Amino acid sequence: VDDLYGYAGDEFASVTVSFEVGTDAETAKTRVYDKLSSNYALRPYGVENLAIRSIDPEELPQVAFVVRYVGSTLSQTEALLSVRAAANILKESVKSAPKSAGIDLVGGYPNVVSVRLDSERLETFGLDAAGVVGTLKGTLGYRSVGSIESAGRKTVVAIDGGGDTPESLEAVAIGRKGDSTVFLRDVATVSRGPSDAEEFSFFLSESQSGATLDSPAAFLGVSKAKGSNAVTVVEGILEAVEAAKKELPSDIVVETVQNEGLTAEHATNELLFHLFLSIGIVFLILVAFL
Amino acid sequence: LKNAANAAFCIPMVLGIVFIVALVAGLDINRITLFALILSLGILVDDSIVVVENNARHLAERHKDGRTKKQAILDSVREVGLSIVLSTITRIVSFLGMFAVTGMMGDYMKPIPVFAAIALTASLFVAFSVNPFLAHAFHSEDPNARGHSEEKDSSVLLYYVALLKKFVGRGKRETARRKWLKPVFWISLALVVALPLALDVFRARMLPKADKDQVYLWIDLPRDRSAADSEMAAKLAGSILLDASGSLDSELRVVESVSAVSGGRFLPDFANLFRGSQNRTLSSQSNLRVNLKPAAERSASSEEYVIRVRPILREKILSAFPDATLRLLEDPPGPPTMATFHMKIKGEESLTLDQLTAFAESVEKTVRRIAVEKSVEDLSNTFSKTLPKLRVRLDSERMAERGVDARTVEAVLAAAFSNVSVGTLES
Repeated sequence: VDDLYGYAGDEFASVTVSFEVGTDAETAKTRVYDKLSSNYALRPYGVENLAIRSIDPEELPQVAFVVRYVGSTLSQTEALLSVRAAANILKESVKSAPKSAGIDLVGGYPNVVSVRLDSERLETFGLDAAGVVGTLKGTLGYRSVGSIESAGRKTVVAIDGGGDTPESLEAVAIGRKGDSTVFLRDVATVSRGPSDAEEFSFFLSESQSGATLDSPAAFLGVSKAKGSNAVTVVEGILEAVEAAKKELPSDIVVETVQNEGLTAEHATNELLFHLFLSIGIVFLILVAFL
Repeated sequence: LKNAANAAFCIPMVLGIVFIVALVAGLDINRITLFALILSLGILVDDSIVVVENNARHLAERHKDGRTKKQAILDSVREVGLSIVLSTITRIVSFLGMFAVTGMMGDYMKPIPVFAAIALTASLFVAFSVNPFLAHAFHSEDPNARGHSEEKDSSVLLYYVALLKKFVGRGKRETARRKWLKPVFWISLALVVALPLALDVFRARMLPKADKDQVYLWIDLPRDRSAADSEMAAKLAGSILLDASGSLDSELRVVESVSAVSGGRFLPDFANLFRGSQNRTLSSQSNLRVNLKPAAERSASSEEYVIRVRPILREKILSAFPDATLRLLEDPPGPPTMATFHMKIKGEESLTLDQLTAFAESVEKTVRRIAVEKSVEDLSNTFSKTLPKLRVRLDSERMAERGVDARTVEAVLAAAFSNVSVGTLES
């Protein structure tokens, strides 16, 4: 190991281990795994998830797209939700492109439904937030609880919370006050998107009139498989994106913002040109002097 | 022309051999290897030229000694064989020095000596096998056939000899000419050496800067600022760079678009991989990628652009966000590094983080003073700054009186101050 440095943020910390130049990446990764797992008991109290990730230039996106919203009817939150949804459609399509490896999606908001509890109203119904969270955790989702066997046939029994839309969530009963049932909508507001935005992603460009056009955006980066040719892989990815564009709403625009395939092609073509140029010059000199 | 074609034939042969060897050995053909081939192209033909030239002389002299074509070619190759082998070895050895380069740069340049060595060995092989064979095929058995009888000097050579004759010789005129030639030679040599140094033409650089079509901007607000504030700062920076108000020089109006994430991770890229971009996820941080117009459509290179736009950007951002830190970053020309100059401060384990940070801050002050003198533009730190903390101290006695337990308090507070994930909706 050449160098170690750490970085700590709120509720997470990362340590970067840099190995001496020339160390085999697989060996390095295995050693880190081995060291960590053999010393796992020494971790500080409260540390739960250890994830090991390699930083490898080979895994960087070769091509990146911006998925942006250019309409004007949606709010910022709604727009960020819809660009992320559109980016997910692209992601599915890009997966089929030959020799493409990892797909990295940043920006936009994931498809989240937020329940914002009103503490005053909770109190009037004699409820508390912890209880509501517990009820929702118990109600939502689909969990298998066992099976029934009768007449030699086996049937799986599962609990289905029944929630499938934000509206059905509002109708979840969370308690009783006197003779009436208290529903979630009585104590909370349910909305799509995160309740506290901790991240914004956008794309600024120049409109035709010269003004700055500010659109909510998500970014999609696609890397190539190790050892494959950047130029051809990127071509395949661009084709896949082009095909998926048809499925997107009309107010979502997809543009390429980074194309390493093109950069690699330019650089290689330039060098090849110079290679042939120097072959030509050498030949001319030979003709002149031999 | 026959001889020229024969010598030139070694180029495609050698390149072909190099590519086949690379394919078999599993080596990549990349920009560095192509560069290595261009670099060694000039010396690749040397072996062939010597062999072909000597072949031609021996073939031309056949009418004097009556050797057969085959015998003449064999004699010729034998004559120069050892010296060609030795000269090829010395040229390969001169490239081997590059293996001694250590660190990231060494790994980066490794293909150069490897490919140069392969190419030079291949050229030796071609000079000893293909060139004599082609000489045999190109020339007729009859020593008196056309083009063989006597070696003709080329016109360039004749001119050069005529030029030399004016200065070389024992005659008075030649001596007089040589006399003033001497000072001219020394003065021009001194000028060639001194002028570039005096005019500062050479700039020491590891690698030339690549004129990339993008630069990066990192904005850090104080740790306790919200993502909405970061977004405002990032949008301000973006609109300045896109020049919505039209106040920038036309040369600096080269930004096509700006991709940005405030308060979250941005797509990784080669330039910032080792600068710690993956850790930039705080809500007070913004990551911008500034997409420039293609290099052909702008006059300023990305480097000039960064140097010129940096003070303008800094002034405008700092007037709106006085405690912001800006870093305007470029793609590194070679292997990526964390920073040009990187200082790490460690302390005894008994030191608290605050003490260490205080010390680091005092070091930074000194460094900054020196750095500003040396016209350093970007200076940043990774001092730990934690958010202000509000402690809720539980009173077990009063909790017991009221019939609440610590777990309930924790769950209620967690639901109030953070996002609790409760499950999934399926539709």
